[in-house]
Amino acid sequence: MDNVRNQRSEDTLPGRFERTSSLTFILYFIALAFVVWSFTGAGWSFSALGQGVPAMLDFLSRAWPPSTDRLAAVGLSILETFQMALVGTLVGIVLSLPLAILGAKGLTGSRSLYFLSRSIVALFRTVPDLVWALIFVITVGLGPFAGTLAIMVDTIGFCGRFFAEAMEDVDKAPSEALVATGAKRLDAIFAAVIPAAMPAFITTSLFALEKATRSSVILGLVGAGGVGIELKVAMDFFDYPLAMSIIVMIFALVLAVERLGVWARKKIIEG
Amino acid sequence: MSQVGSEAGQGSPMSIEQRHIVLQVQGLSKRFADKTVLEDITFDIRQGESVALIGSNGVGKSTALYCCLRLIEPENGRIQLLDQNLLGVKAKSLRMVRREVGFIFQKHNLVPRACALTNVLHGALGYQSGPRQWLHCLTKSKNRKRAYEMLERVGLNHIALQRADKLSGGQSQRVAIARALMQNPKIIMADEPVASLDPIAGEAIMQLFFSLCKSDGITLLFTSHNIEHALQYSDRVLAIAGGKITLDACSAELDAADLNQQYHYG
Ligand SMILES: Nc1ncnc2c1ncn2[C@@H]1O[C@H](COP(=O)(O)OP(=O)(O)O)[C@@H](O)[C@H]1O
Ligand SMILES: [Mg+2]
Repeated sequence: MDNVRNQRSEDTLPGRFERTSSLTFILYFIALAFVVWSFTGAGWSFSALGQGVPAMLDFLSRAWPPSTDRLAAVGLSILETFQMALVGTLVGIVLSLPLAILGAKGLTGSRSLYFLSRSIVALFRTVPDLVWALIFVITVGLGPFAGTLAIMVDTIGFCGRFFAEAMEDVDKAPSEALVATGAKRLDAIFAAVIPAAMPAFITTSLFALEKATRSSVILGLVGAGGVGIELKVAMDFFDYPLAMSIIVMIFALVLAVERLGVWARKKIIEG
Repeated sequence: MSQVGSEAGQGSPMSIEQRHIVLQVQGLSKRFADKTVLEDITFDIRQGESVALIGSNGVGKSTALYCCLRLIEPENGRIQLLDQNLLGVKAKSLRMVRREVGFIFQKHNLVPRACALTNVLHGALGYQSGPRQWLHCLTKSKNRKRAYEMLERVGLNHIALQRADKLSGGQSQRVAIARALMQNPKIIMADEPVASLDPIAGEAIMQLFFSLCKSDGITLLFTSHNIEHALQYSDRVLAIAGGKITLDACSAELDAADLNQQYHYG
């Protein structure tokens, strides 16, 4: 009796792996091979990594202590960097709102405007900010304005998408109730949908500002304003102490903006 | 904003039969997918009347009421609302009709993050469009004052600046009534206005609602699955069964026990 039962459960015990067709198996194999090969393509090298450690220590010892010679100039440059991020983000947020309203499913009811707005936002989001910076340096010239525009476009790509999704997720009943009182659809959106989506808007905007602060540091490398160019010059002239003081200040700026974001988000979730 | 209301039938000596028909529904039908909910709904409502629409659960009371303001698009039929052929009008005229009709939902449908005063102010959006009507702090003093008066009428002026999501169910429904009054409506339609409230709050709100409509001469059409409420707060009762109006009678002539038996509730 016992024997029979054992026999039966042996037969029905599922295998460890599901059977795959040989085609699937080949595809898995190709994918695995590609990953392995990619390490070569990426120049992965343990020996270089080994040699890099002492070089890094050498850099650190030569960069320490950070230089305080050009503190005021670097400080101003850091301030400019943050101002680029702030203005770019603010203008981007304002411009992304109409795009988000058009790009939120079922909010305005116009299919063609929905696709147009979604396409613009997707284009802005998928092209990297450094590429936008290169384009704006050509169109408006070297300097912080090019960087600000690049951040603005990047923010529209980010906020345009998440604002639209936030508005799609809102309970539609209050805005429908206003439409039932004879309100125009746009009034119902501004009076009922946007207030409900406001916490999500603010959270998204704070993330956008954090993101913008990090990119604004990099944009200087292509001449689009901000502290990035100072860092590059310091590195090119082997002025490592100056480079270190710039890095420390960048660190402080990004950290400060991040902490501000965390604090503000917590306030909003509680309130 | 148009100032109606005062000329409406306050203690009008005219009998109801002589008054103007404000809502006329003829042969209204509605189906969802393969299910016919309303087959042939026909009734008239005259100016200043209070009419209850009763029927058992799922019979189509809400659907009928929503169709009367075209919040649901009916299949067939004719709806004459405030002298407009509702199913034939363009979007703009539809808004013009809707702004003269208050609609109270079973769930109040207030804007949760806005204060009571702002929610009441929104009742005027059909008359005034734009940013100044979105928030009480931006609007004209005249509108603000009027919104406050409407809150006063429902007894909630002391919590004008309280956020709607902090109000109790009964308070929220009062704010919704104040918002409807802000529209200066000729008609108020209410879909089970107290069904989601406890009996005591529900009673108080029906009482308030009824007396406000009577004192302003506002025509009232409400649905209810509470026969006692329906009889107490209406001049006339309509009942729906099988997609048709099966009863149209004066409330005074009806008996709650009879109706309860006829339109069985479970
Ligand atoms: N949007 C909808 N889609 C499909 N069926 C619906 C929809 N709305 C209502 N119904 C159906 O129509 C019938 C009538 O609903 P309703 O008008 O809400 O009834 P009542 O208000 O009398 O309880 C119900 O059987 C319900 O399931
Ligand atoms: Mg219902």
